[in-house]
Amino acid sequence: MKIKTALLSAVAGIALMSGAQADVDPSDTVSIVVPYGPGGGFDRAVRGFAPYFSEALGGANVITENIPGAGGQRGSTEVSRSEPDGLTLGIFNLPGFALPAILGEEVGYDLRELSWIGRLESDDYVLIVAADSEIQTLDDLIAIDDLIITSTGYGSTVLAALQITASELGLAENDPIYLSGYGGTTDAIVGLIRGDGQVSMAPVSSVTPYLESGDVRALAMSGNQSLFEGVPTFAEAGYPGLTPLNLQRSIAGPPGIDDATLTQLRSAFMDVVQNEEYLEYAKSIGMNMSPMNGADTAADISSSFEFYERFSTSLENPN
Amino acid sequence: MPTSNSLARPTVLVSCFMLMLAITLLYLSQGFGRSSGMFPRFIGWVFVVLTAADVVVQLIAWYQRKLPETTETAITIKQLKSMGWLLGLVVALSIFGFLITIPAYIFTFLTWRAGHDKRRSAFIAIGALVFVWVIFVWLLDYELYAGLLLNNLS
Amino acid sequence: MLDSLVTATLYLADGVTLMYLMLGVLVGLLFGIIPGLGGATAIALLLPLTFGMEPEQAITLMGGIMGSSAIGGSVTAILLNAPGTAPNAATCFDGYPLTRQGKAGLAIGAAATASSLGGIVGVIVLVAILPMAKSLVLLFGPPAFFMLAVLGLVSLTISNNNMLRGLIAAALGLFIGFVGYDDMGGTLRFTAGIDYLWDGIKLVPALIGLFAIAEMIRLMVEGGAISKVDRNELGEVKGVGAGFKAVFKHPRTVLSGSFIGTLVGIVPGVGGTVASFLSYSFTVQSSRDSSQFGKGDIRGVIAPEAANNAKDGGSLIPTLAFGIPGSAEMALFLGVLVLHGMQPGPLLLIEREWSLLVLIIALLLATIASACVIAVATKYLIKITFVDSSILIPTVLSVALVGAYALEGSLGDVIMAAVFGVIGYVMIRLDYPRITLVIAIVLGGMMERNFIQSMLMFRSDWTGFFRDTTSLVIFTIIVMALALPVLGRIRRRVRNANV
Repeated sequence: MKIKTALLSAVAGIALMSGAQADVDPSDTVSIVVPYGPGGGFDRAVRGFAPYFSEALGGANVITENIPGAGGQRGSTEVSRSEPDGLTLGIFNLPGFALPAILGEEVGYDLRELSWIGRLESDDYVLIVAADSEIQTLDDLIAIDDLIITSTGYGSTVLAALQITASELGLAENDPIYLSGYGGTTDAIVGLIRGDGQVSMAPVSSVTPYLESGDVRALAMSGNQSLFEGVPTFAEAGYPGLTPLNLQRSIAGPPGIDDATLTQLRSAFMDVVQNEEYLEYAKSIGMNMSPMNGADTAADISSSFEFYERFSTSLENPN
Repeated sequence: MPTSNSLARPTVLVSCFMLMLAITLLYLSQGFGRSSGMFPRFIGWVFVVLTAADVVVQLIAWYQRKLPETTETAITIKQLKSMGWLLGLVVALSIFGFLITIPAYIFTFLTWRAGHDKRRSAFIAIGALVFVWVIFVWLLDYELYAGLLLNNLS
Repeated sequence: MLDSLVTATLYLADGVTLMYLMLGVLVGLLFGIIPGLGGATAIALLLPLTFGMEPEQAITLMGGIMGSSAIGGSVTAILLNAPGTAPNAATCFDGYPLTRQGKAGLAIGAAATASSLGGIVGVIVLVAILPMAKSLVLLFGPPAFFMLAVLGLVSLTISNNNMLRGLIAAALGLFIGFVGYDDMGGTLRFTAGIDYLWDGIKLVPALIGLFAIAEMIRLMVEGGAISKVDRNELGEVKGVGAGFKAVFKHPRTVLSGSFIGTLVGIVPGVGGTVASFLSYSFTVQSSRDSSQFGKGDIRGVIAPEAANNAKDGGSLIPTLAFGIPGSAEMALFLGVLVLHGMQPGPLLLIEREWSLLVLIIALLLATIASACVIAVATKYLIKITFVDSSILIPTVLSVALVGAYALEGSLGDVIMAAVFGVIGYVMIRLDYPRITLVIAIVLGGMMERNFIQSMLMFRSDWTGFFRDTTSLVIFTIIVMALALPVLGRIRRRVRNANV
């Protein structure tokens, strides 16, 4: 017997709930597309979610499909072009997948038109310096003439976040050097620790291990509430314009899913994210759960879009 | 590393082709911006110089009759035929997918080109199909490409 | 540390755990043998299946795969001149000529033994330098990475017979590496509007084409079987034992190969291909009699095989120190860890010491186990080389293309492999070195990216390359690597003149 399907049906065979008459039958297969290769943050978010989602859908087979390529665009384009029958969904990263459109590139999807099922994670951004750096406060940072910022490449969320922060803090006037091109967020952080640059930025989930080990120090973070002792939010430090800056992972289907199916999917989603067992599991694999229902997620996407569009002139490639 | 088995005129032709390629790549690299174009332009120049030197070396060797005179046409025909078999495989895969093409191709190759008897060829062809199926489809749960034909029929 | 070691060993002594280890070994061997698949693909495929396992069971499984895939890959490299995985490419140079001389058993035995020893040395070095892991990783910044890429490319081209052709192959390889989206400059390069090329030309399809497919084309033209020696030669089965002993007759080769492998493994992103090639190159350069390399010198098999297993130990350094994966397998391995609730990062080693020791011991056991499996299976494997090539050709072609497709489910990879097959055959006939092309593809991105980053850091002042210590040291090595052969030749000429 196929090993994979055996395992999955075993997990899915747990407690069939009496599902309402809806458009996704327990005999259907729902596939959630991860637009990256296996092993990354998105991959684990979906794999953890899938079995619980299957249960909430009355036992329908929920599988994870990896469609990597083109920085996530191949998978997301495929999802947005698939049949809106509720059987193909995808996990989307904001602002990552919004950036290409905002930067003026051609994309195969419009985030605002997708059928949003719900938000899983929301990660605020933290502005960091190396632990042995002389920079102690935001003011110190602004005072530096020849600033070097480490970052991942053009089109990445970290670079965009840094450019937006630089714009709000007034750093852009000093013409800082963006040392971009690091392979991943952790590479940029290690580059910071090594001293290639003086400041960087990363989502909370990426930064936490390095804060805990004492290799980096946080100057400030976005969001409404600081998660770290002694670290102010941008709002508290006097820059409220940066509060909405964050990294979100949400689930959506292609545009045009009919209301009945959408409601079914959304309510199944809410069942999962209110399940204590799931939340505990999510926490154990390092997810920063911040669930939001589908309708609110859709509204939030639009306002996020506006937020990033306001900064579109700061988001040109610095190199 | 294998010793060379150069053929006279094709060697010079290939060297010229490489030079043309290098010049084209260098030309295309001019269109890239600052960061994106820096390295390609630099390597492009190096590439042009190297391929030009190679053309010169080949021409000198040819002039001095150091290269074998005859292009063995028999070998060239064999080479073209081999490429043909490869191309055929790729085309067949694209249209019919893996599970049909693999046994069909192996069978055809063995009976037609290599002259093995039909029973033996069929045996090997089926054996290969079983191997691929067991490992990729059954064990690893892959969906092997079904080919344009079948994809369009469904 | 000691009690974690005890815990780890006891854990592995359990029957179920050992079963997972053997499963990993068998899967790793299989994936290693099939050209195009490799350890990374195996881990990626089995990753979701580890979902229901205990974390340490998943770790053992992964260790089994990582330790055995390079040994599996050496088999096809030696028998068919088609490396099963990229790091086995250097093994072809002397492994295949040995097969043609009917000494396949010798080569496989040596490869398996060298791999085991390399893996052991790699682990020993890993454990020894682990306390310094963080500082080691921090030594390598963009300037050092750039110099390292240059070293890799230079050492290749100078060990070539035809240096001009080698340099051309390198330049071509660099351009192949340029194809795709450049995320420093933000432009698409050389893609001609084809979506498939957005991520660039992938290494594995190119490798399948350049080696496996090109070899099959060559066989189609040449005909006959691979082994040019009469079937009645009794050498083969005893050959494995001789191969085993041969490794111990060349301790310097094994050790240098292992050390180079471990050290290169420490540098994230460089990987086994470069490690095995650098090791091969170093062995050729540093041996007094290098005339037999490329014609069946057993040291040419020992050096790269030791290196490509030793690199696993090395690649754990950046992985454990900072959570930066030292290789593709490590990247996926980190994914497995996360799936099981372990956060990669500097604290991983402290918090989950015994889990990581499980990995290290599993790696060790896997290299030894897979070497034994291969040694036993050699008798049957060698028969392949006596098989009529007409049977081999269509089957290898088919399986190789399935391997190319299996990578990402893209028909484009299949076409790319075929295209590179043709390119590879042309390169064989016209004496352009294929391995140089491959290494240039591998190193090109690293070279460019780190060059630009370094120039940004130095504000365009290139003397910065000589002010960064690690960069300066590597530069010195490059100069020595270039100068030594020349000096050697001068010295020989002086000596001959004086006679």
